[in-house]
Amino acid sequence: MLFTGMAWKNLWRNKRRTSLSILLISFCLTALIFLLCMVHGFQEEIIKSSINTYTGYFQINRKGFFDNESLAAFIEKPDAIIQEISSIPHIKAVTTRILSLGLVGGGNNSSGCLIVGIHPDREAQVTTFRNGVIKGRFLEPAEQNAIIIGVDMAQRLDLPLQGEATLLLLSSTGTIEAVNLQVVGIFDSGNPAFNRNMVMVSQSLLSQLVGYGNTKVSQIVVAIDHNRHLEETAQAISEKLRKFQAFYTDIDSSTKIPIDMIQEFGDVYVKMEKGIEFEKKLELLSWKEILPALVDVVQLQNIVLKIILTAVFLAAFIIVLNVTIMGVMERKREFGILKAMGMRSSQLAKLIFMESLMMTGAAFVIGTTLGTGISLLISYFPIAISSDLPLFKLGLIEPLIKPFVTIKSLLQPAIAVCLIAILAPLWPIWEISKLTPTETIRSV
Amino acid sequence: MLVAKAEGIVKIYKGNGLPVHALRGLDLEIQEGDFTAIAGPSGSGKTTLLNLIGTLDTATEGKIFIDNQDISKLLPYELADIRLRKLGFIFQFHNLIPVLTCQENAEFVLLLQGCPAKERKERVDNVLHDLGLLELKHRFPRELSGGQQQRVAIARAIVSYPKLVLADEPTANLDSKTGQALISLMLDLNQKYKTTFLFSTHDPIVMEAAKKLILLRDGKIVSTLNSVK
Ligand SMILES: Nc1ncnc2c1ncn2[C@@H]1O[C@H](COP(=O)(O)OP(=O)(O)O)[C@@H](O)[C@H]1O
Ligand SMILES: [Mg+2]
Repeated sequence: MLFTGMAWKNLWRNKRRTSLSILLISFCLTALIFLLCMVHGFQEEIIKSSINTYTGYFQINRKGFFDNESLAAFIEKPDAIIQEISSIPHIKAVTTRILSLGLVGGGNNSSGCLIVGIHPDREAQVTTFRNGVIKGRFLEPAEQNAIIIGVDMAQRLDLPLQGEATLLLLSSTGTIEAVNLQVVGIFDSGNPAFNRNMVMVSQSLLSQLVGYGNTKVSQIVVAIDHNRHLEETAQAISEKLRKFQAFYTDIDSSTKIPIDMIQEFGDVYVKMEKGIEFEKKLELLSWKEILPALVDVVQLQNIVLKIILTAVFLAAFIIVLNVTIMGVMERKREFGILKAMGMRSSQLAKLIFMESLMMTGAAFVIGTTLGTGISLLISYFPIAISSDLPLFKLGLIEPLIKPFVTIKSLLQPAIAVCLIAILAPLWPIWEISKLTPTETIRSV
Repeated sequence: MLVAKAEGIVKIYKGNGLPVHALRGLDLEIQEGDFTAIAGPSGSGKTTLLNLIGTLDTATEGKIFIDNQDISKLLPYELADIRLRKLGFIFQFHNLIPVLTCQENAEFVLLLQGCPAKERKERVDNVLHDLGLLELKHRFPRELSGGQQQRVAIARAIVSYPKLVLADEPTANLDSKTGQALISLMLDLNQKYKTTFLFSTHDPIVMEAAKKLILLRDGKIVSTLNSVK
């Protein structure tokens, strides 16, 4: 208490110097917070959008399915699993999909494709894929003769809306199945690969075609309320899955696929091997494992952010250090008087410390308020930027500067400022403590 | 009662150049109620002696006792506590903390001592009154004349009722009339509060006010005179 008032008064001895320093640090902090909020906002958006369009937060597959989307890697009786995991707190919605490779033909052209069999209504609760339909409509539940295709595929195959597409695939029993379907919708998912190679049909149709008989699916897709619950939900799902693992030990999962059939698919997603056998196990993958590239992008950005943070930290540190040293050295004699009056060196250190703390504290309040305020403001009124950047061309995120204010964005700058407040006075305190009282009094 | 004692004090400054023998074997005793002046030409070692007795510096040889306590082996924070509880200082100039008012300057020592608020206020007011500073108590040092500043310095030095007040040429920066007034003020306090003063000067008029005069030359006491008057 004794020192607080004095430190505060000392701080304002050189009004210009102190206020300039406070302004500078505040500015650093404001800029830093805004930058962090912006990048974190961007990351949040791109992650959310990737997860929401198709991937989902979690996928439950047979082990190995992720590397080899084979019909042999099925999940038996998914409803029991869904029922079990639906009770987990943060799980918002669950759906199933059947994935199969095949050929889609229209007119004289044909193309290899990934056929995704969905429950249209449940799919809409888990992903926003439905919003990508730009022509026509999304699938209806249990629709038997409808298909939706990507914009690029429609163009390549010259398949218009309402046109007739032929779907050809190899069933799990090795038979070749073909069916004629009507194109009821054309989608632009934002993902070029999907637009080129993916088609969707109702799950009941695909189940028949591949011979799953409505008791098997390829994957279960799970949506949760927020990414921050990812780890705990993963834990909970794994827990629940344990009791289903035993189920798969008795199933014969080997399948025979003729190699030449596969080669026809051209640019298919995954390569299949003949007679591959899948492990008799379920596997839970989070979006982080499914989309490692996205994780890499985020990590790279975070490294760049850390470098910027360090640079700004050093600049602010030097400002505070400089001001503290100047402030202390020009008061040497005064410190000598204080020592003569019976003030201990530790108390003197406390005083100098307090001064630094107050200065950085003031800057902290101003900088954090401004940084958070500006970020919040812009998050409500996002700034539009050029959509020509390749990043935005992917269509995963809107071309907007839209900061995202989280504790995470505020924490790092806050820690940096605290570090500055603590570290900067150490040197001048050391310099002063080296001097004897007489040495300090002698200097005027 | 013995307040301070110096035994065989030698102080050699070892700077960058040749070592300087500032004090060459010096004995001194200060009794309670003393009003002693140390006189001597510039460079004779007055400041050095006061600093040593004031525990601001350490002797090269010899022992110093404050209130019968040998201070030579004490740690810096213990010395700080001795200064806080037992000593008062008045320097030649720039004595005061510029950001504090007169009253706050005087109060600061009591704050450091942890004196309760009510007593603090009483003591500060009494001392400021005795030194004729009551009207100036809310002024900052820069708003005071040199003489007034020195009076505040005295107020601050005596407000904690120290065993010994050390004053290094307290009048050197004042005109002779103000200087004289300051010394007689100190003498009043010496009589009223029984405050023990040890001060240095090279002003003959100031020397005359002392009850005991120690003459210093080349780091040695050349003579001690009692009751000049
Ligand atoms: N820090 C120091 N380093 C070196 N020599 C010093 C130092 N302080 C004082 N001296 C020398 O010691 C002698 C006594 O100085 P001082 O005690 O200041 O005398 P006075 O106060 O009587 O003028 C002088 O010769 C002075 O130059
Ligand atoms: Mg001197």
